[in-house]
Amino acid sequence: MEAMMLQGARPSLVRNVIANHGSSLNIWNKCIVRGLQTKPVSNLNGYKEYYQGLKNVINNVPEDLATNSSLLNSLHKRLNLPKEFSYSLLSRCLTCRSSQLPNLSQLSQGSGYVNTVTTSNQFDNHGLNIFGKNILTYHVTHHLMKKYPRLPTVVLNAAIDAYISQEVLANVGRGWGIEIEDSSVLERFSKNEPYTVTLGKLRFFNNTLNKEDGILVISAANYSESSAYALAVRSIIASLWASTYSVNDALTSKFINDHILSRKLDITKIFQFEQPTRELSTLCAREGFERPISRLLAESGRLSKAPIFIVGVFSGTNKLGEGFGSSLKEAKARAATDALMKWYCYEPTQLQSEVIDHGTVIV
Amino acid sequence: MVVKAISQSSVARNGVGAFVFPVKKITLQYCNWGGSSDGIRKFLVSSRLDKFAEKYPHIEFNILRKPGHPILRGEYTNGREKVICVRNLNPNDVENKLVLLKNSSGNILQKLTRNDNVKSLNSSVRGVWSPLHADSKYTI
Amino acid sequence: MNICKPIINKPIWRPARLITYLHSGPRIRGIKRDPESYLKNPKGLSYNNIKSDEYQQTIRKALNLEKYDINMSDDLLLQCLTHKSFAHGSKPYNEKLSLLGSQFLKYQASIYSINQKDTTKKDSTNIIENDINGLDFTNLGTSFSKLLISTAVLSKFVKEKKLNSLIFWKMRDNLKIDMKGSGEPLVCSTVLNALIGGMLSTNGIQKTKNFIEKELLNRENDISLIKLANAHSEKHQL
Repeated sequence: MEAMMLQGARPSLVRNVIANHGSSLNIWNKCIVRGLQTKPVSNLNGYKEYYQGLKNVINNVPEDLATNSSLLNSLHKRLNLPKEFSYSLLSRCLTCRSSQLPNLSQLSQGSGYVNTVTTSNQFDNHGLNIFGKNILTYHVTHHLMKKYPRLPTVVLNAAIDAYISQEVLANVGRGWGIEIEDSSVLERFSKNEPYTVTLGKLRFFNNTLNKEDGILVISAANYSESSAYALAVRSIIASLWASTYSVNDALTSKFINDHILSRKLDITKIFQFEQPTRELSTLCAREGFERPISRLLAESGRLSKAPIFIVGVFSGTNKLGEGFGSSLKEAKARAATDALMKWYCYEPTQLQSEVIDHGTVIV
Repeated sequence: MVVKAISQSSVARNGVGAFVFPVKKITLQYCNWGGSSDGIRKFLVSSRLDKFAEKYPHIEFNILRKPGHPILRGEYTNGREKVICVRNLNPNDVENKLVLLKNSSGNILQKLTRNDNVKSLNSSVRGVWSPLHADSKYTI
Repeated sequence: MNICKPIINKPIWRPARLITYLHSGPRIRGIKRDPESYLKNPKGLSYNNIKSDEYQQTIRKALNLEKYDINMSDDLLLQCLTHKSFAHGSKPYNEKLSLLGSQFLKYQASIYSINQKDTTKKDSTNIIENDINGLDFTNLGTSFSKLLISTAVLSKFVKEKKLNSLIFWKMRDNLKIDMKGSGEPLVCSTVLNALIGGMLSTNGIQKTKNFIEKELLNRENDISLIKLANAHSEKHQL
């Protein structure tokens, strides 16, 4: 079986196949053999039928079947999706293109080994994912730029990532209670599992060989579980837009606000200053403020082993920031950092007119 | 460019914005023969579960027949599960246990001792008292 | 403990000599340059001598801003047309506006793409109901939908509108005379994105959306992203 696997592996797709002579290697063989021994012909035909049926259902989800799926139903209710959002569309969001791999049949000689059936490009979440990504990125960028108009570009990008990176979206998907399909088609056939269960689970390329036989497929494309979760989350957002944009345009932005932007992010944690004093003086020069000057505000125990200094940084008579430190230098740097943080993390009030930032300070 | 970015992840706050119910699936496992399943059998025969399921459409209910003591198993969105054995319990108590599963967040039970009741991701509004900033009459 | 009150009104030490030599001509290390010598764009337009009725009006006219009832201040327009490379970022530049604008344009262009009914699709013989609410999501991710908002097409648009001579930026290699390899297409595309971003922040979503639909993604216009993208793809196929 191992030799077969290696033979079937396409070099472009499968970079490396690590084979492990584990004891569990034969489990599937036994299953097949046992299955075939009892009812050789009819069971094989039955399996083929089941497989074909599953493929047909996934590649064009019938609405009545999807409505009967308890997984889809509960997910729909949990996310409080509007009734315009059909169950079949929700099921389509869960079909990832990675579940369709070229020459999959060659790889396993009968797709009983993998969890997914080959899917059609017309019915996966590929396009939905792209649209979802566009809508999410725009919304989050707009929100952050409105809230913190002066964020430096690197920090802004990191903040956008903190909301909608693959890992974060995967966690959102897990938090929504989306389940992954991790049993093989053969297993489902032997349990006589209805198609409605598969329809409600996240379908992507996760080879059972990976777990059962210790064979790991590493490829250039991203087939990871978190990538699949992120695809599903983006697709659900895109589908929500598609099914409600004509009725209620604001629903999708509300959904994004509620589920993504409601997450906690401390923006000040993203900053890392290298030369705060230098940056502050460049900023003051650019904005036409007076040269920043650091002054000692308070001190304690200068000659002791634990001195403490409090330094304020002033531009003319305006105090820009304040910092503490166990040396004058440290306190001065903290004061400059504080002043810069107050500049960059400035939040205008809602009634204020739009603040257009002049750009990050370049030293 | 002087300022650099340290990559961060936002933290989920379920209930701020949207609230996603933590329990996603409850499995009721009973035995058709054993005496300890008497209560849960009565519960299943009555319409109480139907009403319960109708009330909470966001939970998937599964009924499983399996020899042994009856069990209620709740699966949560945080990936954990909570299992309660309901042997020899009467239908009322079974329903109470079901409510308990429904109300749980799925987190590990923790004993909140002393004064650590306040848990917040936000920093203190009031700030920390500093002797160097205090009014002169309060300085040491 | 010592609490020392800062003496804020204490005069700050300043150098006695306030005259600085400003150098113009070839660069010499350590000598301060005359701003006049570097506050110029590659076409020789001076940043300090901009006349609002010439410079900003040209931009407004080129993009038909008045037709779409879009008001953008002179300062904002100048910022939109100033690239980060200009004058070492000492003047307001368009980096973040362009970031926002590119996201919005991408979003609007994808809405345009999914609304297209592609009749030339190969498997139209076996009709499959894959539309969602009349939207075809399989149009996304195709080479054309990517081309629509690519640097090449956006920069072509800016050039066709003859805005490229108004942009303040610095070439990668100042000594080169031709624009090839100078990074001009990227600068031009950031300018268009920044104009959209600036519009979005000051004039709201509806007006900006209208501008993109009627001006940029309109087949009937002489210069539109669709026509340019078609021309670009034809040129590269030949």
